[in-house]
Amino acid sequence: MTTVILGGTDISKALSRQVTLPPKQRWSRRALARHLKSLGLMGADYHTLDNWERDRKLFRGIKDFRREIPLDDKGNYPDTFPFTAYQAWVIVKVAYILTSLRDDLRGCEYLPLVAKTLANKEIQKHFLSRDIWLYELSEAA
Amino acid sequence: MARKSTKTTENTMSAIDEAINTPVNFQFCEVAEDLGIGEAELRERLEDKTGSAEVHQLDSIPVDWEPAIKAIKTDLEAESSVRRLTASEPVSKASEAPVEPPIIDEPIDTSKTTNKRSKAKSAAITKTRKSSLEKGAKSSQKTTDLEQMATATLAAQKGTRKGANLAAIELTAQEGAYQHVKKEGLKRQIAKLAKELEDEKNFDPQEMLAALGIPGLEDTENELNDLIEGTLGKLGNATQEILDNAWMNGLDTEAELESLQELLNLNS
Repeated sequence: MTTVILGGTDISKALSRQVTLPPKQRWSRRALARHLKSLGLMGADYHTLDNWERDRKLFRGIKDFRREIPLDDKGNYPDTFPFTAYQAWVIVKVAYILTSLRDDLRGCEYLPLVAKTLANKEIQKHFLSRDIWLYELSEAA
Repeated sequence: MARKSTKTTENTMSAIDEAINTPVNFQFCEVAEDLGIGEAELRERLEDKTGSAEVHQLDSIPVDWEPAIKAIKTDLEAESSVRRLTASEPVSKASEAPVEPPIIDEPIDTSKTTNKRSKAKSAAITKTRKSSLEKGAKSSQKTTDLEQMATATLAAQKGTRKGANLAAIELTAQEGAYQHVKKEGLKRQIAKLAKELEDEKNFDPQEMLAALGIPGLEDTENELNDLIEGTLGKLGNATQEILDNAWMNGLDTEAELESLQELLNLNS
């Protein structure tokens, strides 16, 4: 099992946490923010989520996440789009890590570190791939 | 009046120079537009070239990645040329037809070439050559289309003609066969009639009997005649001998004959 530690946070342990979301085909940023708020996690408002996704491009390093982003006519990523069920699952998982890191690395610029960690293919394969999401779904069912 | 120190001025100038000379990172949207692809595809291709997944999180392309951009450009050109080749199959077919050589508009100055060594003409594809080649390809395509149409029409006409010929042959053959049958029938009928007449004319019962192994009337007659003649001849001779000897034996022939005649008359 891959073990990744950022600060005092065991990323691999945080990512291993099973996440179950209400069954929804599409998640708007506001709806997902409300759900994160209900879980007491970071990203509990629209702007934070928008900042993570569009400005910081936090999840763009994850191949399966990227594949589910719709493209416009010119082949560019749109400014905003509703998340799929898999993308929402990834964001919730990452929100667990970020919440833990915020408490751990308060005052540090940790988002680039997290982005770099998420871009790691091994981590994607073991914790954030679409196959893992499907596996967790089947486990929950 | 306070005088500005030369050191400060130098520092400012060097800072400006440094700022001017500092290479600016490439913008994703500009590069993508230049390459004719989407930003998402550009990021994917850059990831393939550089092997860094962080490219998806960058706002601009570092200057160091210029070779990767050039490599992507080369790849895209190669891909588009391959696409052109695959998409232009009819054109390749058309290329089988003789392509008209492009007309050279520029007059060739022979006076210059007489004294100097003649230069080999460049084989590079210039714009003029490219356009003339395209024109040639188009015209050959058109020619091929027309040729195909003409071939199809000819084939259709040929087929029709062939069908008509076949029909004519069939009809003629049928008529010929009918006439032949008719002729044969007539011939047979005539032959039959002629034979009957011939048979009637040359009818010989003797031949028929001879063929059947029965002797004819003539033969029987002759045979009978021979037989009768022989017998009668012998009888005549015997009678004459009796008459001749009767006198010697003391008999009167005439008297005897009369008495015999009387006897015969008595019996009847």
